[in-house]
Amino acid sequence: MQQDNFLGNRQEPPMADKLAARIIYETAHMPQQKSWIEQLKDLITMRPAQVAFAMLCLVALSVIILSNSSETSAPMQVASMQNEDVYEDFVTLYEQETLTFLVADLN
Amino acid sequence: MTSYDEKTDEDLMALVCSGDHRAFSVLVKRHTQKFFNLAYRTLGNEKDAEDIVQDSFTKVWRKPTLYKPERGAKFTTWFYRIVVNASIDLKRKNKPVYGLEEQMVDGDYIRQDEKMVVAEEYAQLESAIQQLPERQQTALNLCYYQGVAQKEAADIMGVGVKALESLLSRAKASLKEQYSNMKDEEKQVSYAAR
Repeated sequence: MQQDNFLGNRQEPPMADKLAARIIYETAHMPQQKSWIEQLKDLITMRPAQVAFAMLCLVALSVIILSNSSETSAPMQVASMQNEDVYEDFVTLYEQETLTFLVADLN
Repeated sequence: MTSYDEKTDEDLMALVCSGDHRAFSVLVKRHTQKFFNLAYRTLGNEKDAEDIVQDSFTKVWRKPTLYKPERGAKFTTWFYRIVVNASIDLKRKNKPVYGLEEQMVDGDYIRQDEKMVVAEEYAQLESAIQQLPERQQTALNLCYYQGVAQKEAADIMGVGVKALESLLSRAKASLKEQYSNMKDEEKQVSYAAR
C-alpha cells in the first residue's frame, strides 16, 4: 500500500511468484505431524477390527489383574488373619480342656 | 475460479488439518506475496524474507493444528504474527544487510543516472526507517505498507489500539524530521554545486 506522502517513496518489494511455487512443490510430499490422539483416531478409522480386538484384550487383561489383586491379601490382612486363627485355636483348646475338667469332675 | 478459491482462509485451514494439500496451495498462492512483503520490509533482504515465509508456511503444513480458530484470531492475523516474530528474531540474530543501502553506495559512483538518484531516495528513507525502534518499524510496516487495519495490527503486535497509534505517530514524527533534514542537506549540496 503506497502512501501519497514521503512514506510512499519506498521501493516496492520484489515479486514472490516463484516462492509460492517452491513452497507448494516442497510441501507436496511432506508428511504432516500429528498428535497421538489424531494418530489414534486415524488408526481407529483405518483398522477398526484390530483396534477393537486390542481394546478387548486390554480390558480382559485389566479384569484378570484386578480380580487377582483383590484375592491376594495384603501383609497387614495376613497378620491379622493369623492372629485370629491363633486366638480361635486357643479358645477351642480352652473350651476342650474346660470340658475335659467338667467331665472329670462329674465322674 | 474453483470452489477452493471461494473458501475463506479459515475453511481452507480446516481442510489443511485433514491433510488437503490443494487447500494449502490455495492459501500459499493467496498470501505469499503479502507475507513476503512484510518480511522483506522488516529484513530488507530478499533471500532472508523468502526463507522466513517458506519456513513459516512449511510449519503450517507440517502442524496445521497450531492454528486455533476457536481463539477468534483470523488466519492472516495469526500468520502475520508468526512472520513478524520470525523476521524480528532473524534480524536480531544477523547483522542486517540492506540491499537498498548497497544500491546507495553504488549510486555514489553513478550520480548522473536518474534511476540511481531515485534509488538513493528510496535508500535514504529505508535507512531512516531501519533506524527506528523495532516496534515502530513493525507498526509502520503493517499499517502503511501492508494495509492492515489498526485493530488487526494491534492484535498482531499484542498491544492495544491506543498503543499502536502512539507507536505510529512517534514513528511518523521521527521519520518526517529525518526526511526533511535529508532534503535540506540535498538542497544545500545542490546550491553548493552551482
